[in-house]
Order: sequence, then C-alpha cells, then structure tokens
Amino acid sequence: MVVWKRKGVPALLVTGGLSLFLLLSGDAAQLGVARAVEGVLLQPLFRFFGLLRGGVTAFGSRHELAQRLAELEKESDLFVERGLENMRLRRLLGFASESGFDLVPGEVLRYDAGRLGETISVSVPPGHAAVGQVVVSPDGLVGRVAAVHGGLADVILIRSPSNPVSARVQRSRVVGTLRWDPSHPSRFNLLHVPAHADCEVGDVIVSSGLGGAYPAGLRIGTAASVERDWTGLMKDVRVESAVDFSRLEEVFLLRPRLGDIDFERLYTPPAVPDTGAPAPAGEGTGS
Amino acid sequence: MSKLAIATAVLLGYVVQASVVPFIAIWGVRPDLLLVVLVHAALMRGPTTGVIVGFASGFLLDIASPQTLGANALARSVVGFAVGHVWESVERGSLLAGTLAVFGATLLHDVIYLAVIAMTTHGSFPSSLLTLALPAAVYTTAVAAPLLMLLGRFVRPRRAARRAY
Repeated sequence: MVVWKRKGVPALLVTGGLSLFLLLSGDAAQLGVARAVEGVLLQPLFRFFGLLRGGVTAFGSRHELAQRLAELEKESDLFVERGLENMRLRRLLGFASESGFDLVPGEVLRYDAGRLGETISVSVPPGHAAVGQVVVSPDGLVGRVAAVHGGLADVILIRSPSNPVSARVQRSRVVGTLRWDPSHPSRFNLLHVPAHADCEVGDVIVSSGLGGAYPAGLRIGTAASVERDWTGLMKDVRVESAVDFSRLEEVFLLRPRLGDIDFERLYTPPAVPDTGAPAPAGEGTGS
Repeated sequence: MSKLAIATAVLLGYVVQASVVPFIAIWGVRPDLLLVVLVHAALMRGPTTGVIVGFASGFLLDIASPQTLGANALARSVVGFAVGHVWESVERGSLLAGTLAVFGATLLHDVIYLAVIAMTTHGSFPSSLLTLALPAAVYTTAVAAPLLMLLGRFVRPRRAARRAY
C-alpha cells in the first residue's frame, strides 16, 4: 500500500504540518493563538475548579490563618520601627528615597502541565496585574507576569529556559546569570562566575537588580555546590532553589509603591532652632 | 459516545494534570496522565484517533508555554500514530501490553519534545533525556494500570472485543 494512504498517515501529515507551522510562526502569532484558546476554553474551566478548591481550602485553614494574622501583626510593628530606622539612616547618608513595593495576593489556578513546567496562571483582583510585574512567594522570587487577561495573569517562572535572571551572591556581591538546570528540577546554575570569585557552599543567592527585570535582593536560593568548571577559568555554581515551583499555591505580585505606611509622614526630623546663622556647606543636598 | 468520552477524558485529564498532579510530584517528576489517555485512545480506536487526540492534548499543553507552541502537539501526534499502528500488530486486551505501551510512548514523546525544546532554547538534550524523560516514563507507567482500566470502562475497541483489557 502507498505509504500516505496507510491508516492515520493523512491525519499525521495534517497535524504534523500544523504543529510545525505553529512552532515556526513568530512570537506574536504564537501568543495570539494561545491567548485566544485560553480565553475561550480554559479560563472558565479553571475558574470553576479554582472556586471548588478555594472553598475546601478556606474551610480547613481558618484557625491557621487567624494564628498567622496575629504573628504578622507583631511583625508589622517591628517592620514600622525598622522602616523608620532605615529612613533616618538614608537621610544621614544622603540616599535618594526608595519607593518599595505593595504586595498584591494571587491564587495559583493552573500549573504548566508540560514536562518542563515553565509557567503558572494566577488569579488576581481585576486591574491589579500588569505585564512585567514581578511575582514572589514567601520563600523567594517566582517569576514575572508575561500576559494578563481579565483577572488572570500568566506568570513565566524563573526556571523557564527562556527567562534567565541576573543574580548575586548576597555575602560577597559576586554577580552571575542564573539558569535553570534541566538535570535537576529544583536547581539552577549560576553562570559567568570567575574562578577567583568569592562564592562558597551555603551562600544565599539573590536577584541583583541588574537589567531592570527584577528588583535587587529577592531571595532565589542557596549555593549547593561550588566547583571549578572544566576550563578552570570559571566556577560551576549549583543553586538549590528556595521556591518549590511544583507546590505553589499563593503568590504575590509586586506593585511599585510604598504601601499604606507613609514613612515620610511618620518621620519627623528633629527641629533645628533658627539662629539666623548660614547653613553649613552640603546641608540639604541629600533627599 | 466514545468520541464524547475521549473528549471528556482529555479535558478532565488536562485539568487534573495542571492542578492536582504537581502535588504528587516526586523530586519534581510528574506522571503524565494525558499521555495515558492518549495511549488508551490510540490503542482502542487506531492511529487516526491517536493522531487527533495527540494533537488536541498536545495543543492544550502548549497553550501554557506559547514560546514553544506546537512542540507538544507534534510529539503527541507522532506518539498517537505510532501507538495506534503498533497495537494493530499485537494482541488486544492485555493490560500489561497497554502499560508497556505507556512506557514506550512516554519515552518516544520526550525524545521528540525535548529535542524540539533543545533546538529552540539551546538546552541540553542528552542530560534532560536522562533526568527528565526516564523518571517521568517510570512514574507514568506506575500509575498507568488503574487509569487504563478506568478508561477501559468508557472507551472500548471499535469492533470485536467487548472488553478493553
């Protein structure tokens, strides 16, 4: 029998051709097709299952949440004290004021069901998400928002091969590029670290803030092993992820604003008596 | 009826895969329930159904990663075709053969899929084959038997045999 007349071959030719067409079409076309299908078919489906899951979870965790709220209120008082201290020190050093972030909570509705698990979909209050917003969990950096439709934000995780992160060793300030290591689901490789750089097992790795995609200082993980690579010129740093990407349930979107606590209002600089004398040189230049 | 059952199984499988399966991951390795559904459909209904179910389920998975849209669809279409053809030459009704088909199908899928991903993202193909594909195939095979039996109650062979397994 002619090969293309065998059972299943015409269907395979059509679907194979269509798959290749989708693979080779541009990013915009791929995104458009994916969003269209997602909006029509998948969003309603996951919203329904999300509501079911939300109801069950809320019933079980009421007491835990009350306890956690009490703990957080205590921490909040401490945070205000630290914020005021930080503001006093920044003023003394003449640093520009820092805006900080608000946290917008979101519930993970869907995980990428594919083998690599590169994305999650998060339900957020409408109007609170925007493309490029950074997403964190209580454990550390998760990723950034790639697309928003209605109250649903698609988040591309930092473990996606197409989403490398500029990272820094917190202790020694050594900078490298973080890429997911596909040979281990919870590990990254910190690339471009010179052999002489100061990096040891146990060092905390945070985002560097370089490139502007992620703010500095967000926890990513811990150095699990540090060795020289085969060339002897660079270090081969394996980083154990702080976030378990397969078990994310609640995440937070960072919104660049200080929040409800207005440190500028709370902070009252000490009154200086007006003696009529000229101010010392350099005073008032810091912000 | 069977077409509706297959479509329902694919949609339900997708929802479970995307919302529940991550919580039963072991060292980040997850069983691929949609692949079990695909293998069963191809075994029961032949290569054409296998190709169509493979493309549809792969496309659903691809939506979450638009950068590689089509990679899963291509890999699963080929798997559906291959399983449908191989099954025609062996005896129907054996659960063991069905489970082995799941193992082979998972490996075949990952070879194609990871090769495409490695080409598009410059990743390491051989290492991900060992560390992702093999454990996923073992885990998927481990959960395949009860799932195949469950699916066999709703999606049966087109002719001849009364029972799926």
